[in-house]
Amino acid sequence: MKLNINLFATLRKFAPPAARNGEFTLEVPKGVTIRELLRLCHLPEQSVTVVMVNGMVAPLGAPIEDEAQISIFPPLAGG
Amino acid sequence: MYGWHRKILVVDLTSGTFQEEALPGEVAHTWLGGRGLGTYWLYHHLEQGIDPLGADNHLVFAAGPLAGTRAPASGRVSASTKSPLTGTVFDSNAGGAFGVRLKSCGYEALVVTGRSASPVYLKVSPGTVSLEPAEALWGQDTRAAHRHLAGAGGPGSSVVCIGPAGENLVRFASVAVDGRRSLGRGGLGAVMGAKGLKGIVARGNMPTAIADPEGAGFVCYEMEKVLKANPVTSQALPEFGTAVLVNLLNQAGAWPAGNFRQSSFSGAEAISGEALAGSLMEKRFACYRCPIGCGRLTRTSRDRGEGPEYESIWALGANLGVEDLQVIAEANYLCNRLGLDTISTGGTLACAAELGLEADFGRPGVLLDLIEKIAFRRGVGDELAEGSRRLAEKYGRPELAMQVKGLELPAYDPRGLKGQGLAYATSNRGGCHLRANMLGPEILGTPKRVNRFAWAGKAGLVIVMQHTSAVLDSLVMCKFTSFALGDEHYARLLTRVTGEEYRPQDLQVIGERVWNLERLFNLREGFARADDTLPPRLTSTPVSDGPGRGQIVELEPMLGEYYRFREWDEHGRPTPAKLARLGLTEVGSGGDAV
Repeated sequence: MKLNINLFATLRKFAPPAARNGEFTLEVPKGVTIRELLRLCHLPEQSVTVVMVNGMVAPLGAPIEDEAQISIFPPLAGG
Repeated sequence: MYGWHRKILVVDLTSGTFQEEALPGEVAHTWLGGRGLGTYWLYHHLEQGIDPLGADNHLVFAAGPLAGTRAPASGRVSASTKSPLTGTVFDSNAGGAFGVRLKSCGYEALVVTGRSASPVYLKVSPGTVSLEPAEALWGQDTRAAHRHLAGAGGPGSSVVCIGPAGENLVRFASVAVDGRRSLGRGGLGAVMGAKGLKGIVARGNMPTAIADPEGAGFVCYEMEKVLKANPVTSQALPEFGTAVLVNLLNQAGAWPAGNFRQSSFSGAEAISGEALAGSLMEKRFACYRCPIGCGRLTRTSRDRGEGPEYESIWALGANLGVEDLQVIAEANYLCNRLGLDTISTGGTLACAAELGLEADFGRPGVLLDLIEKIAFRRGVGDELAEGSRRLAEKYGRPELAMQVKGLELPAYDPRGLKGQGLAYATSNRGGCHLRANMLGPEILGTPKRVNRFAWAGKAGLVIVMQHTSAVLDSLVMCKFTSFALGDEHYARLLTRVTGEEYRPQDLQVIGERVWNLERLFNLREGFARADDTLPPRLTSTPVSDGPGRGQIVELEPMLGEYYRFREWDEHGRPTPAKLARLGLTEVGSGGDAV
């Protein structure tokens, strides 16, 4: 299945060369979880603090559905 | 006395006289400094119902017990007054070094009262205080005024000053601090302008006495290590600044746009922290003794300056439909130069647009022209200078002002973070994210993740955060240190510096005491439960699309829970039992005890 992935802030250095502003699409096996997706994207788990699936924060063990919009953030804060 | 100097400098601008008042040890221990001391002073010295822009108002600049030690990010200053924008007690807090410089003059606080017949600036150094003529500075923007005052103060001095907006009594005029930071919110600049006070220069060399220098030094060393090891304070904030939040809130569908008619903005990426780092960024800067360094110095093809910060990018960008980072940066520079709070400027302009007064902010020059008009109260700017609430009421559409208690709301749509809605509604200074920021629990999962769309159970978290904020503002330390540090660090350091025993739980009680005294001040001014509210758009118009689709803020049940947890009655008044436990019984009944 195909996912639209967005990496933000310090994670953008992990994006593939074809990515634009940290955004790229990725073909992954059906039913993949967020934790497995991080591995496929070569993202160290400890460098990720929030993963959103279609704008909703999701736990690492959650399975992902086809054509989901995935947003991945490192530890951050501000205000 | 360790930690605190025992003196407060009181300047009466009407008579041009100065006096030193003793700061009793018990008051210092109980209220710490900064916001706590400012609230204490105002509660006891301001008559109910005074005009915030009159001679009777007081403006209290206060440092904290950790200023002058090696504590990280401790050079800040807190300033308190009765706000001309909200009518509430109001403290604003800014980086830079004014707090530590004021303290090194031998004063915990500087209180400005009265009104000068002609423009003046104040020069403070140990043992010497003078009022200097400022006719030649009146009309100058904050950059020029800062240069002049810093020159007059000499090397090692620190400067606060106002621009034309403060002089012209714009109700959301800010105060520039050291040319780079601002006492932004609440119109403190207008209070200075009304008093005829262009600026203050402080320069001193008096050390802060530390009870246990070795122990305090070790805690500071440990705090710096933690700040440098934490990925938020050592990577995200230094690399991208506060604007690192733009994409996070936008992806969550909690980034308001178009005066909160939308909850996300299609142009967010182009004006994000990532975009800023890759385009306009020149270099980082840090405030006094700050190992984080979240400040940005940026440059456009026509101008350069500080920022824009996350809130300013939103207020002058998404909220106005502007997706050109260069336009936003220049609008931000201009607000800073003229001495305007960027959040209230953007919120008032967004309200004006919905009222049909002004709209095309993306067209070259329109935004900058309107900002100038506000600062000089020219044309429509005279109406806008009153803030969104007065503007919308004047046009018979009060519901279009996105404000709480008159303070324009910041860059979090509470329909996507319900606890933030409660935090806005109950904030003692009005619509603000700095009394309790629910981004941590509601999105980032710190200290624990809660369902951001649920209303139940939010009151307790909001209350704890309100107390923590009050403590940090009273210490006076940067809130950003709390992304890596906890009450335990602050309590240990405070104990080593002052020689008084403070436990983490004691700090929470101090925060609660400050919060309740602020509440008592506002109740005395006539504020009531009806003022703990949100604009109807947020409580009755569901989000139209995105992750928060269909959401509103269920404020009433949250507010009931909040009052119960606070031990306030159904009208929002602290109960006698609560006041007794906080040592505020005498104060609450109009008495004068500590």
